[in-house]
Amino acid sequence: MKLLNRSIQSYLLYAIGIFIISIPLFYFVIQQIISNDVDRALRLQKSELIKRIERISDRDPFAILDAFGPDIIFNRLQEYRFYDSLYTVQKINPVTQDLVSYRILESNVLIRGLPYKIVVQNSLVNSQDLIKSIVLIMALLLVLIIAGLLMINQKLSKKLWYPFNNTLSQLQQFRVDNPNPIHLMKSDIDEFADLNKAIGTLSENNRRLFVLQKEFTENASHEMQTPLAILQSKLELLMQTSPISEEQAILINDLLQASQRMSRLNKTLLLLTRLDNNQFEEKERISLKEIIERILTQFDDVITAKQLKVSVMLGDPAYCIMNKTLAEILVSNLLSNAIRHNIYAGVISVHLEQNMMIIKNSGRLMPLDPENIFTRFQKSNTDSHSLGLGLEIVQKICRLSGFAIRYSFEDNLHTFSLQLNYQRPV
Amino acid sequence: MKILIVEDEPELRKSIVDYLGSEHYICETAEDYHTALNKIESFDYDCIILDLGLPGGDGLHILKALKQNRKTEGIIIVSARNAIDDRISGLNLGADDYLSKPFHLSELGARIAAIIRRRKFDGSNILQLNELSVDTASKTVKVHHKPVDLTRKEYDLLIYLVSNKNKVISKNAIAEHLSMGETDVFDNFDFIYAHIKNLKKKLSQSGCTDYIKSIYGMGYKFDI
Repeated sequence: MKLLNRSIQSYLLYAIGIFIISIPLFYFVIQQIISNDVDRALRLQKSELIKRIERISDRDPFAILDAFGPDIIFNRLQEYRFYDSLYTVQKINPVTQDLVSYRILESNVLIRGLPYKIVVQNSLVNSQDLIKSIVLIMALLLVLIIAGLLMINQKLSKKLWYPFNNTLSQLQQFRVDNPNPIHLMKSDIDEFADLNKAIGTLSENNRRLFVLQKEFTENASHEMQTPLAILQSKLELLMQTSPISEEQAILINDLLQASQRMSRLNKTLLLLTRLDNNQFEEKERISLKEIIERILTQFDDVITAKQLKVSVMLGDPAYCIMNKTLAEILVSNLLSNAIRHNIYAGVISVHLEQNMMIIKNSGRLMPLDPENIFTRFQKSNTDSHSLGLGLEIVQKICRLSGFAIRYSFEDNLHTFSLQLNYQRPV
Repeated sequence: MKILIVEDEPELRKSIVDYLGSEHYICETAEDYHTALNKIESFDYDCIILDLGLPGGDGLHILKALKQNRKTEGIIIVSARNAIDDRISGLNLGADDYLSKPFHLSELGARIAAIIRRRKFDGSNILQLNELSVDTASKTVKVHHKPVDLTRKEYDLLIYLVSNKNKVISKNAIAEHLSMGETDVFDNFDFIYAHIKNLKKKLSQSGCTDYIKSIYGMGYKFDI
């Protein structure tokens, strides 16, 4: 839910609540006022009637009764008993034949010593109409106010939140490895200005840290190359000396293995920093089919040793535009991954079609965690030959080349699907 | 065979000299840019091993100077810098080969041998090792003048061993050479044993002396 909708929701609830309470309240108050008014009018009528009857005392009061009209009833009583009452009844209006509320004043009076009963009535039809109109107007007002609030809200939200949305979209596109700093628009609203300032500092710090870290990796790897080369060459020279006992030979071999692993790690880290530095900009038209075929031949020793069944379906001789070195590393990493994590006498299938490269391999009967699979040093097992950097490189190459890569576990096969930005041969 | 080793790191320079010196190469060294330029101008070499990151100047300029002077030395670039860029610019400038640090001395030995073969014998090179003769132009192997049928990998392996004859070569180096650097895929180097076994069998069936010795724990050696 949007923040603005949340706040308008409260306003709306409040407005509706007030209206719900105020409509009956209004109704009762107005009714009360009208009823008081009517009562006063009835009493006035009564006292006026008494005055008139007193004025015409010389004559029979009933003689002028007709002049009072249908709303006044005047009767002679046998004896006087105090009675004065105001009440409302529902009666049929003799003119319109409707059921109408009447306010009635019934009172016993003594006029010059003679007891009379006076009934004065007043139809409430007009006042009820009035109340109805008022309630209707109120309801109309409610609708107008709500509609107005919503509209103003809509208009205002676009304008008010524009700097925020702008910042948000900048943040969504922000990448620490992007050398361009993010450009946040200026806002004269204090909160947004503060937010932008904080985000600006944060992103800049992140970027700087990333650059520092990258430079460190790069420098460390570079500086490590020479001592590694010395170590390796001295070990090789040591191998040439004699006599070497079997015990020493094994030690030398172990040292050589370790130095080899270190230099592979070193080379891979250098490659990663070069990928981060985007140093593979030259793109050309490449046939992935050729590369796959070549690398599979390169791997034939290990494929034979592991008794792997490789099925290759390179249907479309499609070409794609990417860096040649990266294409080779990509294919090589994916295939070596499929071989290394395979089981003895397992299967590998390489499928190349117009827009897809799919590499499947048998292996452990358990899907890998697709969230972490491309993360650095995320090893699925303790295999010492695996560096845990291969898939990170694959992912980086995919990003640089505009491919989408997806991991899935289908039919007990680990599957890597690459969506390629394929182009047909011109 | 005269080789110039242009390398600023003394220990590495010494290693290369030690390794190549025992293979009947005459090694001279240069530890910086200017010494290297002077030596190149004054003497002729069969092969130059050139480190690109040198004190006093860029190794690529030495390469340019060599080409301007129309020197015909074989050049192997050895670099710890940005491997791919250097490889491309180095090879474009006329270097014959490229090795990025760290490398196996046996690999360097094999590359030097290949360059010298290509340059000295104008492609019609036959390596004669007693009864064994290898024609590196047509990539054929003969024992007692009778051809031996080897697979590509067995041939590569033989050339690698022969280029580093009388040296112990580690299984690692062989694996890296045969798989063109892609050793990540291997759980072990048993496949080398298979190739060696086949190669030895084919050679001995043709009546060749068993020159290929297995050195316990370390690797193999072409002992002649």
